[in-house]
Amino acid sequence: MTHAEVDRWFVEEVLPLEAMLERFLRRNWRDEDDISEMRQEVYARVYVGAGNARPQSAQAFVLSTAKNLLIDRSRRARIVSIETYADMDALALPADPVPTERHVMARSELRHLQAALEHLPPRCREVVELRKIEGLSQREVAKRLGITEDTVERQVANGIRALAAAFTNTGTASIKGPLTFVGDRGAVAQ
Amino acid sequence: MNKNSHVEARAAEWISRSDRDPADEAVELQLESWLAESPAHRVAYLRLRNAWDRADRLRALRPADPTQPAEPVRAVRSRQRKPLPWLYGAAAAVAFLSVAIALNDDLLPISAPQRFSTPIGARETIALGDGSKVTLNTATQLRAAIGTTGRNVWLDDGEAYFDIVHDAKRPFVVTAGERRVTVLGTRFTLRREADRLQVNVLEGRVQLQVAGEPPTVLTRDESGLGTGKSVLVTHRTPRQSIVATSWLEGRLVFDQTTLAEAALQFNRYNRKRLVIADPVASSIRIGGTFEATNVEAFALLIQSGFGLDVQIRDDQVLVASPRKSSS
Repeated sequence: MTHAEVDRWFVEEVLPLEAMLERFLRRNWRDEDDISEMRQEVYARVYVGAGNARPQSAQAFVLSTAKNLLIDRSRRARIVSIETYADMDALALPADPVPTERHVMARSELRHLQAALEHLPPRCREVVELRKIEGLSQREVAKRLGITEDTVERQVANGIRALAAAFTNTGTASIKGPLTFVGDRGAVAQ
Repeated sequence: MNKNSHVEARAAEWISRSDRDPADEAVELQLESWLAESPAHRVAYLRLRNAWDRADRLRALRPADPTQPAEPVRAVRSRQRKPLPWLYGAAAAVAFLSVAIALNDDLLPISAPQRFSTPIGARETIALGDGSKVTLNTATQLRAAIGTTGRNVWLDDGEAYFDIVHDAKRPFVVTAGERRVTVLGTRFTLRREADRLQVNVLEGRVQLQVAGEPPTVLTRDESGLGTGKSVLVTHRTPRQSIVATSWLEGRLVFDQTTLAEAALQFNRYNRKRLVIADPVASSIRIGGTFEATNVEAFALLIQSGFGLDVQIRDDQVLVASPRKSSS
């Protein structure tokens, strides 16, 4: 596939699997701090792999990549018993979402977004709302709130990360706790 | 901060920077080279970009109160960025790329239409200000104006899939030449080819009307073909529904389709023309699911399947009956 095709495949087929992928990693890796980094490593490997040949099933490809990553990591960490590797099949995996389900997902998206907004710190939330709901530019947001454009840019960057994290978490029943803002690591599930 | 959250923070900074000034080409170039450094950069960027673009749906929450003069209302923000070459066509969820907009970014009245188009072989999804989504198929041109009192789209050429958010107060009207399609909230596809308009209703009800004629109402699993002043309504089998919407997945589905018809279909999606050279080859019937933009793979498949003679050239793929019959 070309870059453009891989990008599209990645956005359309792989990103929607994020909640599932994180669930899988969590079940098989005890250190919560590593999960987001491992997720990104799986993404990078999957992206490179898909550049060589388009996988038949994104889900199967993502999971087998995750499994290989877990094996690599546990070898490196010299953890011997990862009895759950064989668990991949046992994980109750949804079949590929059929188009109608995707539309249902699209419809509930607004609710996810609203939920995500509610978890942002107040200033960040204000900036994102003005930018996305009111449709103001960053410059206009700065003027409206009486803050610098640099501050707006920083808040938008925080908001982007928090929204991405919230999409994963609100999309599943596996929310472990409220989203909190931790330094510059963005929003993470606790 | 571990390495991953550093990359993620950088990706978020890039997106925010380019969101601050979408027209800044220097930023785009720097971003492009950062992305080229490593797949880790690229996947972090794609993930966050997708989240940020999905947040455009939040515009649906904007209070539609015409008496509120506070801020000049603007159209769904149009970014004038040029698509990065590597991302070209990736716009399904990355709506900003799909926008080939002729409007400038200043205080537009909300009713000014935005223009969207796709080149041959591309497919892009755009999010409208009301939360509705439109997917443009290959070589399609469309304009959209979503206002507080009405929602209007003009299908100027090509084919599109509409997933319309229900809003009884704002009917959604698609105009295609002299024909109008009016809905409240539903899913359907429309294909316009010169004077012909094909409607496939997937959910809900759709009203199709030619100027000056009584309207025709189509419901789920029905298709309407408008030519001249007449509308032909047919009921689709599940199989036909799959065929009608397969392009949303970038695929062509054939069922007892002649090679001549298959060539017409492929040629909608590719600059490289598929030419069936003789009547015998043209009338061969085939079935199956194929990637719309990979005409060469299709040609090689029918070469091995039917023993046809296939020549791949720069601008066309020529398929002919074998010169010497070997079977």
